[in-house]
Amino acid sequence: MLEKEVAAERTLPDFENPPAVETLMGVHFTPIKRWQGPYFGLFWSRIKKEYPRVEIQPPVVTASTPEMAVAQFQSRFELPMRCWFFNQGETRLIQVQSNLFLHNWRKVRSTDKYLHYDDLRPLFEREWQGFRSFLEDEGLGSPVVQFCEVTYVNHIDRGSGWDTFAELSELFPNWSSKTSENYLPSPELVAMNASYALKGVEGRLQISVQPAVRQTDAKETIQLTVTARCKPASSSKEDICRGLDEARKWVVLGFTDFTSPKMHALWGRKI
Amino acid sequence: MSYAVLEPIRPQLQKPAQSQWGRVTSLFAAPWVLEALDRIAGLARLPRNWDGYGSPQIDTRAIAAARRFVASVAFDSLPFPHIAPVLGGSVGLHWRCGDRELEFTFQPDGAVEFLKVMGPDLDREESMEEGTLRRETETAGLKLLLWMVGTR
Repeated sequence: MLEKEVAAERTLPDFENPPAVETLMGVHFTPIKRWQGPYFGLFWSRIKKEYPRVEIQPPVVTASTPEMAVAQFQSRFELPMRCWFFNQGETRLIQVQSNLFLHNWRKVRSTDKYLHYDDLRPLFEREWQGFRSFLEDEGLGSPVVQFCEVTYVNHIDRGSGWDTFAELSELFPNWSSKTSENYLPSPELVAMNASYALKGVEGRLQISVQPAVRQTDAKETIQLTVTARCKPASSSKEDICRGLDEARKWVVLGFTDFTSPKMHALWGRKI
Repeated sequence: MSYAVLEPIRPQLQKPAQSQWGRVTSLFAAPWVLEALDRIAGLARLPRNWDGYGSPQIDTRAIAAARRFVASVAFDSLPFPHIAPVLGGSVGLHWRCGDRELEFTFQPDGAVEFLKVMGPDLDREESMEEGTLRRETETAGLKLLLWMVGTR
């Protein structure tokens, strides 16, 4: 489909230069019971041509219910390991652990074009289908998906719309710099975490504002992370796609609602 | 009567696992990092012959490398480093933790020299080790910092 046609179909807010530096989408499922270390290598042998580099990471714990937390805690003792598989240009990444499959995209150079959700979801679908086929071929069964996740990581660098934390309310309208007695000076640092229950679907939207220094170039930035997790109706491909679309809708609308019109103009809001 | 015995807290350099790929250092986790970055950047203002012995200005590549390194290894429990210009346009970072010391020199060509010192008797040669990091300097440097804080 032509880019213009895709753009014409977009109804969610869209930006010419969004501050997103990384997006990830994926699924969390109940731990695969017979999953063992060698399966990481077997799976890698299937995707190695496109994902030639691998890195071992500690597992992430992202349980949304106490039962899942217990299951994840137990699975950590069985196989405390996660694998990252990097594509050729190291712009995309597949993350696998016994209860998790994620696909990340990141901006490597500042000149890199932002890869839209419409481009990334088909890639995720292909990789997820490949992983499901692998599980079936190895007799490991079909994963029971607990929730779909979409996360956008945004960097708002100092000097791009803000210079001090006294100006934070100009970025995020929900932050007020007012105090009751005017005793406190302007804050030198501010961090925020907010969680919202999704409407009409089981899940949550989490927004985190974190003052940080980017490790690649030591630049000071505000990292705004927006994550939506929602429960799909079933583990079928169609329901997972619907779940991802719903999560992504919440991420985009949540991001737009959380940030100010002034910043939207700076990022070149189109819709 | 019983008394609670408080064990000395070892500095922890581990970060929780995350699904995010790109790495940032939280300024709440390491509040000292901004000042360290500013001080390193400030070395660029030193004029030529800053030491009176004809040294060139501090190389911008060495400054950038030292800043990236500090941003990568910054942890709350790490002490503030001593930051200094080094002959030949390089940048020096020096940490001390108990009886262990670690010194890094960031060269304009991208190489990072290190010096490990251990024990109270600093005159003994066997208490020192030196080398040069040329690849994946942040990871290699972090391993040296782990040695310094005593976690490995």
